[in-house]
Amino acid sequence: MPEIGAPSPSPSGFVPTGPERRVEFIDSASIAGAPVAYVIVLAAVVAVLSFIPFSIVLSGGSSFPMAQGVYPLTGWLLGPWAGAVASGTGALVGAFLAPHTAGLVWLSVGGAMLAALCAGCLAPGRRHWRLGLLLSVVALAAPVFYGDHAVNANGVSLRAYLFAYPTHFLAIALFVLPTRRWIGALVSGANLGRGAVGLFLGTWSAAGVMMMTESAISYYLFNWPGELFYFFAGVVPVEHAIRSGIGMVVGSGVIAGLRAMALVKPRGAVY
Amino acid sequence: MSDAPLVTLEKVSYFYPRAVEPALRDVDLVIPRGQILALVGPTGAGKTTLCLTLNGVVPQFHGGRFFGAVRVGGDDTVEQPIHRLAARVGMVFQDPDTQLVSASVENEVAFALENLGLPAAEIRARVKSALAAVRLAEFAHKHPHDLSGGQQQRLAFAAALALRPDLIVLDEPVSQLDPRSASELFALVAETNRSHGVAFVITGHAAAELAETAHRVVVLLGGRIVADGRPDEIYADAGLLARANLRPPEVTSVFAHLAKRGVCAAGVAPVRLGDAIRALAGLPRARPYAPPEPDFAVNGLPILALRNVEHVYPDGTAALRGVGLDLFRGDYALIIGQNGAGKSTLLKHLLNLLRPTAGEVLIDGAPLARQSVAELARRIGYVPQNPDRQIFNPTVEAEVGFSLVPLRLPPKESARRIDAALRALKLEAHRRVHPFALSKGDRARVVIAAVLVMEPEVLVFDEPTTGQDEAGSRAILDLTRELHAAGRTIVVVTHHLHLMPGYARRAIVMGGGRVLLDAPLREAYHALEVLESTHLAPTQAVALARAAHADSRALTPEELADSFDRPPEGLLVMPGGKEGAA
Repeated sequence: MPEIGAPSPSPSGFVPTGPERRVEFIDSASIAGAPVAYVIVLAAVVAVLSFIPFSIVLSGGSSFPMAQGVYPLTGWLLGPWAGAVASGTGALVGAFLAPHTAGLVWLSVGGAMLAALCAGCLAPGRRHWRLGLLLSVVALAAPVFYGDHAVNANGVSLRAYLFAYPTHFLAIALFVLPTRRWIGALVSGANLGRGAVGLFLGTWSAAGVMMMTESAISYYLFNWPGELFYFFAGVVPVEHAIRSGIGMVVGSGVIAGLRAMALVKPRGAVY
Repeated sequence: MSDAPLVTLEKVSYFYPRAVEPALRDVDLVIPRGQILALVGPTGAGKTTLCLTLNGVVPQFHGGRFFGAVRVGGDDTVEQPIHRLAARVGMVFQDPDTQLVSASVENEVAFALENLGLPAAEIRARVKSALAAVRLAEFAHKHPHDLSGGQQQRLAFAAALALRPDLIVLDEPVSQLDPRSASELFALVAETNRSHGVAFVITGHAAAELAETAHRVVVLLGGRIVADGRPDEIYADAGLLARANLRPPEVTSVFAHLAKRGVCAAGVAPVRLGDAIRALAGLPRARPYAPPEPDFAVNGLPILALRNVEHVYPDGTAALRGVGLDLFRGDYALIIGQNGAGKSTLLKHLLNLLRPTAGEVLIDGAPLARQSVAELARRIGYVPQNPDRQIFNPTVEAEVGFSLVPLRLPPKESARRIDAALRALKLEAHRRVHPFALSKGDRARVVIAAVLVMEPEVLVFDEPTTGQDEAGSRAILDLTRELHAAGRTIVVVTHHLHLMPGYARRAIVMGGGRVLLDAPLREAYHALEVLESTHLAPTQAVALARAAHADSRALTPEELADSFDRPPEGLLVMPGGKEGAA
């Protein structure tokens, strides 16, 4: 019988006389320590939120779905790997059920998975540091690739390019710097107010990495006119603030509820 | 069959995640094979937690800190995967909606069997036999959500039964069932126990049914077992029941009152209706009890009126057939009837959530259909049966105050209303707590508070005492009485008929979509033929009163006890019919 030591007293002085047991979810129906049921539920949430359009993203040619605000949340709730499965599955189902928000299906699904992976790495301490390092390389490579193609291949002015994406540059900085752990600590802390701040910044960071990477690939495929970069300068921050706001509001409610309901936390969960 | 116990709990203590006090405290319990064990206790005593330890959901799914060991058939539930334990321990929850997942009745029963990888022929055979056992074979191809509440509960039971488990756990299985469906479910439990040797753990507040069916009653209080004995031992212990907020069967209360009045000896009282009726033979003959009906004044025009209302659902089901009904200001009306009698459909018409297929619904003489649902919500407060479907805010205070936001009241007025509602429902201490951190009984009170802040003229309660212990039920009903005394119109739909004397003044008996009887409570409770026609059983007090005297119209144990004269000095009648010295 696996035991983990002597029992400790409760504040009222009650001391359990039985031996304390190691508690884990040992059923086989789990993905990286997250029960499949949780993954299915969150995939369903992502799919449903794919129906709700927010604005026109000229680069992708379609409106962005509310689901983009909760892709990172799946990473915090389930851990990076199970979160990516939930996000990706939900985005894939959503692409078929709500094509008006899908854009390029493979890119939407990949982006959803990337956002969840990034969020799962926005964790306190050294959790998932190898994955975080790998994603940092992706996050840094995306704007370099994008900028190189825009400026050197298509003749877009460097100023216009830099002017378009300060939002996403900030998101990438938050991800690659030690702020990643700080945001993770805010999300996992007991204080719901600080947790909401963490969810806003974390969504900003994870969704920013996703958007920068998706934009780099989209641009490589579509090569939109240089004038649009000035338009992005006004639109991108607003859209990104909306995404982050969605992540904060939905995430705060869900995390508060999950903590109150006392369901078992997946192994990789950050909340 | 092995002599080893089926279930053993050894020094089991359990803390939910982030909880500072345990839900279970050093619980030791042994359940032999084939035993029907009733697990009773007040709301929050740890009954559901204990049930969930039996199939490993606690602690495997909930996490937290777990001490001691639970073994089912020798398997340690902390070490075995839940899906393996599920084959030994079937679980049926209070709300069958939460566990019905398939698109047809037979698929629902087959679902768990398919997950266990049984051969198709074996699955077909088990599905057939389980559906036959619960008398749902003719509904095999129906969608589970097209079944009535009682049928859904039986379907969940069949799904558990098909696994051929050693143990079936029924957590508050009859709280949403009409009395006839509840009796049928308990009869099914007894039959399954006899024919298949399946052991049962049943939680709940249905004292009369548990006393009839259980072999043993365990009382849980504050996470500890405080009593363990036969039903007649436990339910006759008035001190224990009072301490644990439990209600004895009404027949036991009758004999307790008789003992207090010196009509019979104190001590062991009958806990089953049959025993109580037999014990009447030893008592002095009862006088007919028929107090004059109080005259209730009717105040002008009805606030709500239904005129020849019919409602036919798209699938052709006629749920209301020519219903005519007046609800007056200051009324306290009880609506009763079997599952599927049309009660919920009627309520939805009062709230403008459904429109009549024919006829009309009036509010203060004007067509109710002209009012929006939002406008009506300010006049008619609706407290639904399942609180979880209504709760979505992160704190109790936010939940209670949410409906005030669109009213744009001054902050002081909002705060006053929220404080008053929290105080009335005894929720002040939970103000900052997440509603889902509370027990189901407390969550129901949160929803009532959220309706109260709107200060509506009419309050409609749909099964308000579901899942509540004796104290919780009384607190809610006392609140309805206070609101009624303050001039509100109260409508209550409930299957818990025994709780309503002293509260409701009028009963509307529904059956087959019609109003079968609209009469003062006493008259309706004693209209046995009408109750029978809508598959309602009379309360134990009423049944015993009629057995004591055909003309008796006693409603409560106290009234029934009042109809007996004290025997001559020095003689006390034992409940079994013998006489003894005082």
